[in-house]
Amino acid sequence: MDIEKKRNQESITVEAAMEHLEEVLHFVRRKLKKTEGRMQDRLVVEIIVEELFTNIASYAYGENTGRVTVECRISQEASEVMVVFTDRGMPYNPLEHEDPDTRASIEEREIGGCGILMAKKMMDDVQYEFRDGKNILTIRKYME
Amino acid sequence: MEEKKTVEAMERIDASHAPVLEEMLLKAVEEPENNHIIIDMEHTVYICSVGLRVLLTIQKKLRRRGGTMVIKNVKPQIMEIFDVTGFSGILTFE
Repeated sequence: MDIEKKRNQESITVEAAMEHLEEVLHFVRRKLKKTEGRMQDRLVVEIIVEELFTNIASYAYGENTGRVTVECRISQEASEVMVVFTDRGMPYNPLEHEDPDTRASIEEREIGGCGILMAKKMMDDVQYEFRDGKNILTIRKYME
Repeated sequence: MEEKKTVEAMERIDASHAPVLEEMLLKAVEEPENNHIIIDMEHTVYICSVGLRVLLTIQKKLRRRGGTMVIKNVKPQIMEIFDVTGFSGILTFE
């Protein structure tokens, strides 16, 4: 099955699979260069994008395949970054789910949920909505 | 006297590099006498949960053997990730 890749200025659409992660990061990295942000802030946005893309690639479509659109917008003043992940996978609001226990002992510690936890703590805003059959997850970061 | 082995972590501990780091660390602690490892993160500017998983795996492995794992030269933004995820409570830093 041929999955077409749409690439325009504001978004990239790929199959929700790890083999496309680099492509998505490359796209986001290019957009981030247009911000006034410090290198470490840009890297944090990339890390969150990797985490959230990985989650969608791993879980959104279950056994099937599907597409995900990653939109990246930089505000006029180049001070705010917004990244929107849109997929048609099973309805899932990651914000509704309990965070992993960050005070768990080493033996009990789980990795799952770290991505969304990082997004919540390190981005300035995280929003989710389910609209027109699509999961829409939006993260925003203000770049100093 | 037990020697400490130092492994230098790469700049980006992401999905493609985390397995490489894991292999490096597993190799370094392969011999039972190599029970104390130092991970130097001087060059690391990026880490995501796959990287955290690698650190957790090695930490648990050494702990079970009565060994130690210490991470040094952690940059502030990486430390923030450790703090936010609670990993700063599990890992040992120098």
